[in-house]
Amino acid sequence: MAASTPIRSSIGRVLQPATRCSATTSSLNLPLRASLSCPPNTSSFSTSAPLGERRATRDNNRLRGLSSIYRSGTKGRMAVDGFPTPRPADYKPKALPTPEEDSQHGRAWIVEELRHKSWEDLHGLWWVCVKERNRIATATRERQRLKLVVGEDESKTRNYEIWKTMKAIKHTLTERYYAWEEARELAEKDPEIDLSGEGNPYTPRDYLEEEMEQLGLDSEAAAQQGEEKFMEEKSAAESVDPSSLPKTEQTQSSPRV
Amino acid sequence: MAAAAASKPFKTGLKQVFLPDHVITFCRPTRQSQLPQFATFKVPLHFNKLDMRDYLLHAYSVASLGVRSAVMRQPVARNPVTRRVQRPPAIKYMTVELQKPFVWPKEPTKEERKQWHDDMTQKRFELQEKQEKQMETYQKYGKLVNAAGEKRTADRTKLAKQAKDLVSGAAKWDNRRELDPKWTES
Repeated sequence: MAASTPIRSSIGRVLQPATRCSATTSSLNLPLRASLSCPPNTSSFSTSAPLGERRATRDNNRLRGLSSIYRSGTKGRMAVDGFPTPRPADYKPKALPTPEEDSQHGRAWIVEELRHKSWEDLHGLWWVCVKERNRIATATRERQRLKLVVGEDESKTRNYEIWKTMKAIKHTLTERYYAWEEARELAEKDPEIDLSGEGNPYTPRDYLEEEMEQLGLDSEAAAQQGEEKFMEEKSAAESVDPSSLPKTEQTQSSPRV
Repeated sequence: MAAAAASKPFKTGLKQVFLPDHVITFCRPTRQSQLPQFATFKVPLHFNKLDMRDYLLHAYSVASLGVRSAVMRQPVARNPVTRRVQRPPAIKYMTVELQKPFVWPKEPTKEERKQWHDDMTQKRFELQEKQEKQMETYQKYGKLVNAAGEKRTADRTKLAKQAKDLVSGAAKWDNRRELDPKWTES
């Protein structure tokens, strides 16, 4: 069975759709090469890798290498393939929108998206939400007056999405406030930061200064001392000739047991 | 800011509200007599006239000349959950005199209403409303609304006339079929 492994591997290589033909071919697949009509070894014009193209795997397992845990991504077909990308509706506010018009809306803003926004953006978005809620309340009252029962659900769903956006804005601002509070507490302890409001608020210090202070040394003297020490070590290392070092027993080649 | 201040027709409040969360409902006038210079809003109970004036100016750039306020007490009703008799919270309405008049858009026509209800759905809602009204009358007065109490329809008028003619002999009953001879009276 010693010869079986190379044969099996070469059979596998022949059976696989030959995308590239290696220059070194085994004796077994030589006669088969002519029948497979493999094109000569050529490279494409572009040197960049084709995007999103799933190459044939060695074992013909189409799920090989797909992982949601590691960052290989989903290279295969996805459940959302074939669905058109949603586009934002061409929205014009109306006093009394039809249920169809009312249901054309997306999802609410999420906290993660709002974390990257400035206060001006968040404030603007809040006011957009306030006005939209006013409009929905007006339309709801009008619908009740006209006894239009259908359309209530759509209106409520829309209102709920706006409410969620408003909650997300408040969440973001609360998070930001807590972060600011904590940063302030840290800054009060930090000797580099001056919160008095006079002069430079941030004076960066050398990291060595603190250590020197602890040792009770002047910074200049410490630097001088450090330099001297370094020179001493260097001269000691230079004085010894590495070739004159005696060989230890461990470095000598010993037969393995 | 100077231009905005110059365009302000009145002195506004100084307290800044950054994230307001109250809902203002614009109410269509129920009375025909309300002029287009006036607009009625349903506002939260804690709103005052000055709040309303500044809110309209800052949020919608609508200048107002005067505000009238009214708090409407709600009728006593049963709580649908606890079945207790309660009075719902009052509703505050504010009528604002506008600098520029506003006319509401027209109501949807019968054809346009089909975007909400088709004819069958409309009839279903009407029937449901009628039954609810009957039930309410029965619970209140202890008697059902009979057909005599309802409005006479064209169908019922026609049917009554046919019956009267048949009784008086003016019209003869006929179903346009020849009767079997064995059923004839001897």
